[in-house]
Amino acid sequence: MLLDIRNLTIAKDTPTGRVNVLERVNLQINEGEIHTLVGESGSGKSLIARAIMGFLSDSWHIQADRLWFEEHDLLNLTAKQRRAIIGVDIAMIFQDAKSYLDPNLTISEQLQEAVLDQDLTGGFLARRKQRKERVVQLLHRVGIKEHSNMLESYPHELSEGAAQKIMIASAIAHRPKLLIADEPTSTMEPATRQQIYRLLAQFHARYGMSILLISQDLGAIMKETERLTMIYSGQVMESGNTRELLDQPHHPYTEALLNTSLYRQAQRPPRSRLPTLAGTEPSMQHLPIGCRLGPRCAYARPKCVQTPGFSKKRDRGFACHYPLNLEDDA
Amino acid sequence: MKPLLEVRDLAKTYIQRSGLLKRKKIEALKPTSFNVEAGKTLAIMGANGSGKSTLAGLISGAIQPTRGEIILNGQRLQADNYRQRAQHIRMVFQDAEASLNPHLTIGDQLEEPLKFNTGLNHNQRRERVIHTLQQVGLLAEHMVFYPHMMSTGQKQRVSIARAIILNPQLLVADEALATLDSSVRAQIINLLLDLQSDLKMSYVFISQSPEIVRHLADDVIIMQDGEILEHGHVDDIFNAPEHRYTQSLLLSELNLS
Repeated sequence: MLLDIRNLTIAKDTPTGRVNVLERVNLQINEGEIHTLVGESGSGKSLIARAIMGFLSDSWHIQADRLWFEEHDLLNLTAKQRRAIIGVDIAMIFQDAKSYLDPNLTISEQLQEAVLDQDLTGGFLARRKQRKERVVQLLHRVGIKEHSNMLESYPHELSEGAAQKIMIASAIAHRPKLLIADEPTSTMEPATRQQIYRLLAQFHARYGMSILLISQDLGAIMKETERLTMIYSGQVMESGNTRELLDQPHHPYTEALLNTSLYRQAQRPPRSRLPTLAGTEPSMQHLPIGCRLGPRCAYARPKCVQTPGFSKKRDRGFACHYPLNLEDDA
Repeated sequence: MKPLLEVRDLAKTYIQRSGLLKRKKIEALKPTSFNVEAGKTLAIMGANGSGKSTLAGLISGAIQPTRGEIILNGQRLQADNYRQRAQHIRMVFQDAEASLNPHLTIGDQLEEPLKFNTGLNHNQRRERVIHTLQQVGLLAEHMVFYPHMMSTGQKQRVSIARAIILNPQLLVADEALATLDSSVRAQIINLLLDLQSDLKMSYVFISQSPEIVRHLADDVIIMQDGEILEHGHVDDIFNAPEHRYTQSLLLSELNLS
């Protein structure tokens, strides 16, 4: 197992007391697996990524039974150990690629910074030459063929898709074992999104790189995704094999998201009303007791004020007292 | 039937200066003509930089055209007469967070268009604001809220309320659904459909998502590089796209099912 997260709870102090923004989250990623984390905005999915990378400041209280990457405990790393893992074995790309690139550096300069010195040999000039060669290699690897033009460009001259490719290039400079992609395509037009997804799928196939893809929309996930985890308001609702989960959702939240998701609308008559969850996502100050979907759930019953445990059936996991589509085991 | 909105040879050219004397002409929108029928929805699709937002800006009056004219109900719209235009053509933007004023309560924001465009007194304005809030599925209590106290979906509802409060004939929505979560997006789609059947408004709907367009629109325009590539009924274009570009645009939807 590459990444093993058990019962991760992240809390923040607010004027009204401590709030569990993320509650007992489980997430396991195997070697060479594409795992997609789906949740609406504010559900805490980026928080998981930040906790893995160690980006969270001290005002967040992180607790976990396990937060392991291979044999390293990510919660108790020395600064030196962290430097050897974060950015090398675990890399991350972000939503708004342009704002994560340094506006004052050319693409060549930024990518040269991403090349580790220990990989190079020889004297100063030889190393400089190697570094530049590596940058050109990286650009070719992300599908940018006209590298001479690109090398001297500044980030503001790039299109969104090209900027994201540069970010992928710098993320894969050390052949990471795990790439965390935090909504890399959510602001892109569909054609560019497919391009980026194809690129990621290619690295996954060629180098066996695991990918944790974070996405807002079930209709816009990579089709190579093997496993899905649905998260709502800081609680994991359901996880499992992509196809099984989409065909037979056990959790009402998955079902509701599937119904509202756009790719299923093609089967509906045009201009018909769409079934959707009523109401809005709860704010962190007013979290419902028990299952946080409760007030919006069509199947909710009194028992739902107790937090449901995370049940496992074969390789599917779900947190619901009244799961759907389970008749075959009855 | 006479169309609600006629667009004739509308064009926009930007002049970019590069250097002391060099000037480059950028044709953001080449001469374009089309009609929008009353109570119908026209969708505009295209890649980034294809001129669809320029077109939306021109229709709503945010951008001055270089050439051409826009005719609403047989009456020619003057480029700088905002009062004439603001009552009939309203706009909803992509980023609800940024399009609301953080310093004003929701009630004050909704009252503003009424102050400038109608002769209603204070009490009548308040009634109208409450009525409009209820139309978009919010409560009268939301009048005293500030934008930061609301969720994204609620803010988009307020933007829609601000757009419909003057009973416009045409609503221009520029990617109004793009950044919303899928459950909220479905709620807003339902709201737009309900409002259209209640108020008999026309929509000009700019979107990149083939699924939303297929669900909402009657007619669709496909744009590329400032030109109209295809224009026709949604079913015709989606079932038999002529241009390769249109095919690639429509096929980009994921086939998970």
